[in-house]
Amino acid sequence: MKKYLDAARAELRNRHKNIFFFGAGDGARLVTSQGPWKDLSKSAAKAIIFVQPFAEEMNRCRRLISLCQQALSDQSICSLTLDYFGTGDISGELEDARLQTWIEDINTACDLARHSGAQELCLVGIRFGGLLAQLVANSRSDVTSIYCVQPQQDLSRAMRQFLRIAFASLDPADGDGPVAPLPSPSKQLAAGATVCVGGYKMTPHLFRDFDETKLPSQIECSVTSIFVGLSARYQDSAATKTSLSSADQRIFEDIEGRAQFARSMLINDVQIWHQGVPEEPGALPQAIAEEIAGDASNQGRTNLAESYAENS
Amino acid sequence: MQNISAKHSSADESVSERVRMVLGETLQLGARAESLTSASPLLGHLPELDSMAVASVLAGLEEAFDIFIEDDDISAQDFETFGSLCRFINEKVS
Repeated sequence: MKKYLDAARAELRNRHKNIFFFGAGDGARLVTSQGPWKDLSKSAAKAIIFVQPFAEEMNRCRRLISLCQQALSDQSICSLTLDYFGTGDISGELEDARLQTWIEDINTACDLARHSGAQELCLVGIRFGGLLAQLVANSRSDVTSIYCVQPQQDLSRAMRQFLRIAFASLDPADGDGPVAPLPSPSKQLAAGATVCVGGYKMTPHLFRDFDETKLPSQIECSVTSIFVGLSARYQDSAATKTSLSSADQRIFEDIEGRAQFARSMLINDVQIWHQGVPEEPGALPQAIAEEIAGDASNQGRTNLAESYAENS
Repeated sequence: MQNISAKHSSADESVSERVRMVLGETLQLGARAESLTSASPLLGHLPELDSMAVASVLAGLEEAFDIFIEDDDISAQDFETFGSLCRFINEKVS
């Protein structure tokens, strides 16, 4: 991909908002960029790489990412996102995808940002993207911070949450008799079968990649966990205290135990990756962009906890 | 016995209210969430409840109840009505 870096840099600098293919043939990846890339080397030289979630959540997050990019661009911050192999509007099929290819794709996006003048990189991973960002960060000294939006616990669980789409295609109201139970997709995949889940062809290779890949025991940069939901969900019954649910708290504590510096915060908005394209953008894109831009006003954000790890 | 059954009833109510909250938030049901009764049909009747939404609701229920739901734990019948979904969660948390 290195031979395409110059052409891609020209595309980034060409317009404040651009969509273009990086590379050619089976190696082509779709890049969506925003911000004053041509002035990057003159400014703070920090660029944001959005790391998308997986499968249907990826489709439903496109508008969120675009709105975040717009809000960052308004503050003269450059950002880009890249569709990984076998996903989105690029060549390649999901059934040929491997986790390592996606990690390399994120690295390619980072290389492109560096080649275009960025000195520091910030990875913003949404859902599964947060796990990918953690896998990439340690291999690069230029990644100085990660933001994990509604982080998932681990790759194995992320895969199992995705596989549940399979059973929902059966409608209990159809037919006269009871619905026969579906064979468990995870058991079929573990047995070596390829399974079609909600239109996505999941292979045993990718399933195994998710099961066998562990998150790094130390993350060599700061990690901010951004949890999102309507506030009622995070308040006690007397509505006097805001805190994470115990499941979210466990995920944060896991990150806190591995990161050099960890923070968690809440944003009071709907979880956009469940909604598809919302009619109103809501508070989430602006709040994420303000947080990344270092805006201290804290509008719409509730800081919960922060800690410096001793394992640096 | 009365105390135990009162305790169960209160716990059931708490589960159903939290399930209602997760459904309302995840599917953006608005006031319709409040009108869900035990017999209210879900899968195949709520247009918001597509396959991805089911996955999202399950993830939301896991977070709300701090449980883990295996893919062979659950069937389409569990999503047939609001009551069947609450029963499923009750069994998982008990």
